[in-house]
Amino acid sequence: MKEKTNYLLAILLFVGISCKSQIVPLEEYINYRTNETEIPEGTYIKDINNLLNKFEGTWIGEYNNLSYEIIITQETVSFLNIQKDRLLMRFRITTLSGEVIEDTTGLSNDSYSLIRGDYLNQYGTTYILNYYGSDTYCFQDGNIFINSLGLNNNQMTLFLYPGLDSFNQLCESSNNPPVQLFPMEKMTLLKQ
Amino acid sequence: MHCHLNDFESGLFDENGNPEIIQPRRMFSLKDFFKFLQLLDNAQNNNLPLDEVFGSMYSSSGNFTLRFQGNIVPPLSSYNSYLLEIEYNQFFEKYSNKERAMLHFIENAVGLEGVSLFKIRNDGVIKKKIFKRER
Repeated sequence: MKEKTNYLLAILLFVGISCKSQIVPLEEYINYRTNETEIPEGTYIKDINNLLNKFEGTWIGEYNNLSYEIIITQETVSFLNIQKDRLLMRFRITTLSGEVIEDTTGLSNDSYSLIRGDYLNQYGTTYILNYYGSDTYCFQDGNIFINSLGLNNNQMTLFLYPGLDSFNQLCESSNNPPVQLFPMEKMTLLKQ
Repeated sequence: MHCHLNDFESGLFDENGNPEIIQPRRMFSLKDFFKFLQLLDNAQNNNLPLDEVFGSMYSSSGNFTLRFQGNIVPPLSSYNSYLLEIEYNQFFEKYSNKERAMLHFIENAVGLEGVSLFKIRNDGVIKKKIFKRER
């Protein structure tokens, strides 16, 4: 009788754990987003097909007389009882003469100013990240789109689609249009 | 009062010729919400009734209105907008249902009680969306 009870408890525990944790491939997250489906408690949005690996590394490029060094890493983050694999982006932008415009390469993973990954698009080709620049009150924010190219994924394109709203009541800048650090057309970067 | 667009093409394409799609959230953004708080703050400072302040957003997924029926609104400067942006995204990633996401965000991240979210359907019916505490 005791053995039976233990067996039953083990089954219940297994079912309980199975119900609590579920793995959703990263590339399927876009369907949840598009269909407005809630992510169940305990879900792990996991990069099981290693789609993020090709973005990882240090990337160098030039655009509009500025030099860009983009450093991309991966992390697994937990929030609101779900887990998610995502990319983190740090950057160092300098003029061609070496003057630093902005440098976030030394920031820790929990810094507010880090660019954090959001989702892979429906074609599985482009990864979209959320960007809040140092002048976010004045439209210096939006989504950054990255796309890796080339036989060995040694090239990457990047562009910014700026946010559509501003904290205009807190914007003290007279820049009009706002100064964007990232290009709004695709720039190409090379993997180092 | 303003509108949020449907998904639209950015005009840029990936290497296979697929359009890069912009997917605006058809719900109040954090910046919209801050504008609503600013309006409330202005009303509070001028001794105007707070429940007569509305913020509205129109989209193909529904038309939404925010109204405050609480007592006191903290000043905008008391919020950490960078932290709230991160939390806002987390709520919308978890609760892809944007009405739930917005209500959870206001209740749990902003911590402001007394904000009501109304959905105005195309047939004119107005539904008050209520925050349901998780068991």
